[in-house]
Order: sequence, then C-alpha cells, then structure tokens
Amino acid sequence: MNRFSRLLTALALVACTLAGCRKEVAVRSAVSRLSGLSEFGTVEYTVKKVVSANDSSVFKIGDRKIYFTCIANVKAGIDLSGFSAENVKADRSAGTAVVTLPHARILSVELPPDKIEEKYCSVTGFRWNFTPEEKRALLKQGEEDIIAKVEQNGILEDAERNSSDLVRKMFTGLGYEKVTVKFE
Amino acid sequence: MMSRFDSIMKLLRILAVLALAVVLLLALDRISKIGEKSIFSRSTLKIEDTPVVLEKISDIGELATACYYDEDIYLTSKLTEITGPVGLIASAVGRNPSKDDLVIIARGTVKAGFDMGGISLDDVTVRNDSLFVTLPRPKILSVTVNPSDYEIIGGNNSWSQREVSGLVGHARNMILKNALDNGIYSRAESSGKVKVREFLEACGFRNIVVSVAEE
Repeated sequence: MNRFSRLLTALALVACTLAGCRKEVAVRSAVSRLSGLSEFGTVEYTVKKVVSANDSSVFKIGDRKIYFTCIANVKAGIDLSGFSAENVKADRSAGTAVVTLPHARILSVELPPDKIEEKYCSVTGFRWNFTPEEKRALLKQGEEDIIAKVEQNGILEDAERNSSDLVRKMFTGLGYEKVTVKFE
Repeated sequence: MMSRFDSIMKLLRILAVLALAVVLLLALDRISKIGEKSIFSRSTLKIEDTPVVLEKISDIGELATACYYDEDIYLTSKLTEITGPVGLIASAVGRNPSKDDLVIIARGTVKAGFDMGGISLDDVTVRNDSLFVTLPRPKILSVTVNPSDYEIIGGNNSWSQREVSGLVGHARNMILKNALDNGIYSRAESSGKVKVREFLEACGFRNIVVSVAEE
C-alpha cells in the first residue's frame, strides 16, 4: 500500500508538472498608434468566396465538413509616400508633363465580420465540432486566397489604369495639354 | 477466493499502470515537441480550392492620409447548460449552468482620408502659378479586423460563428470609436493638406493654398 501511495504521489507530481507546462496567454496591454499615410486608392473589388474544408482521414473515425461564405472589399491603388518633385517633369510653357508613379498594390482588404456566414457544418463519428480558433484559421486561409486570386483577376492593372486616368485628368485641369503617365 | 479488497486493489493497480502509461506518453510528447511539432497536435486543416467570384468593380479616388492602429483584448461570456451525467454532477455541486468565456486579441486598422472623386472644378482655382484647392471633409475609408488580425483564446466549440462574429464586430466598433476619439479626422486633415501641397509643389506650382470644406 505504501508503494502504491508513493506511485500515486509521483503520478500526481508529474501531472502537476505537465499542467504547469500549459500554454499561458500573456496579458498584453492595449496598444494604439495614429500616424500619417499617403495612399491613393483607385479601384475597389467586391468579391464573394466560399471557404470550405473537409477534415477526414483513414486514421480518424468520422469526418468533419464546414462551409462558410464571405464577402470581401479589396481596394488597390498607389502608395504616394515616396512621391516627390523628381517624379514629375513638367514644362508649363510647353504644356507637357511626364509623371512617374509607383506600381499599384493592394491597399486594403476588408472582410466585415457580419458578412461571414457559416452555411453548413457536419460532424460525424467520434469527432469534435470545429472550435472557434479552427474556424478562424480556415477563414484566414480564405482571406489569403482572396488576396492571391484578386491579383490574378487584374485588380492591379485596373488600379494603374484608373490612377493614370485620374492623374492625366488632374494635370489637364491644371492646364497641361500633353500628359504622359509611367509606372516604375 | 480473492477477497473484495484484493480485487479492488488489483483494479486500482491496473488503473495506476494505465495512468502511468498516459503520463509517460504525455511526457514523451512534451520532449518531442522541443523544436518540432507535437505528436499529438492536430494537423493544420487546409481549405479547398474554390473560386473568388467578382461581384462588383468600382472606380474610386480615395486619398488615405491617416491610419489608426489598435490592439486590445475583448471578452464575452455566456452561461451554458451542461447536460447528461456530467450535468447531473455539475448541478449537484452548484456549477450548472457553467460560465464560458470567449476572448479575442484583436488588431485593427482604421484609415481615413478624402474622397477625391467629390472634388469639382469649383474646388480648384488656378491664378498664374498659384493654386487654391478645397478638399472635401475627411471620412473613414476602411476599418479592418480580418481573421488574420485576431486570435481566439479559449472558447470551446459551444460558441457559434455568429457569436464569434458578434464579438469581432464589437471589437471593430470599439477600434473605430477609439480612432475617432484619438482624432483621426484632424490627423487626416492636417496630413492631407501637407500631402496635397507636396504633390502640387512637385507638379510645379509655387503658391499653394489647401483648405478643407466647412461642415
């Protein structure tokens, strides 16, 4: 009995040690920062995506499936933070201007939380339901996929075309007759 | 004949050996985790390849001139009724319904600036090499708290996506409120005047007066 109680004590000690190794979440203090910015957004795509996952394996009894739909607003344009007089070669007397802009990039991607809907979820056999963190991880992959595919859909080309049109219109309004816009 | 005491002891020994085996496995898992993935950890779920459907394309002309970043912790709780045998035990010790917490650490970004599409010819006046520009009132251009911007701590699988989205929506509203309270509009105005002046100076104008429309 004595040996048995010693064994139990040892087990309890090891269990406590393991419990002590749990992932602790550090309490962080709130962080905030207000800064200046210089981005010129020229096109906005509104896209819809079905985010789906099928979690099944021969090693697991039962499977899990989930389907979300989400709407994303993606804005693209040019970052003007490095824009300076060197980017403009203007001759007012001749009425000509050559403007060099940076290439367009994605400026913001918004997935409004109220536009994310879980449409279907199925859990069978000895499987647990999806946890909120697992769902978030799936939606994060969906977000990354949206960014990659929107770029393939030509959002950056549209942004550059619109930027070029807007800059040309602005310079024409300022009195320049021949305006050339380049991207580098 | 084995006495009742002996059979209980035998059962307890078996249980102890099983418990020891589990503890050893857990200990091995912790050791194997150093520098690599746990043997017990779940494999990362991958999403299926589905298309992105383009619903709308809008031409815009938005000059973002201020950005507010905020990171904070948001929490919500609910009482969950435990059912089955565990529920009976929980009720007996006065812990049914039990309190469940959902905690998120959210990092949000708010951008503010000007809708340049709203500028008309009346807002721009050119006199020789002097230029007078009146910008529209600044507005909020985007508030972003995406799935890549927050992490969920705790929260068991009793929490629905609607409830999680509700908490994220609350975080988004609070981050927007904080941005407004911290003066994102006045920062957008001052920064916008400087940026527009710099841009027009680069275009060759010397005397530039940039103002913002009255409310």
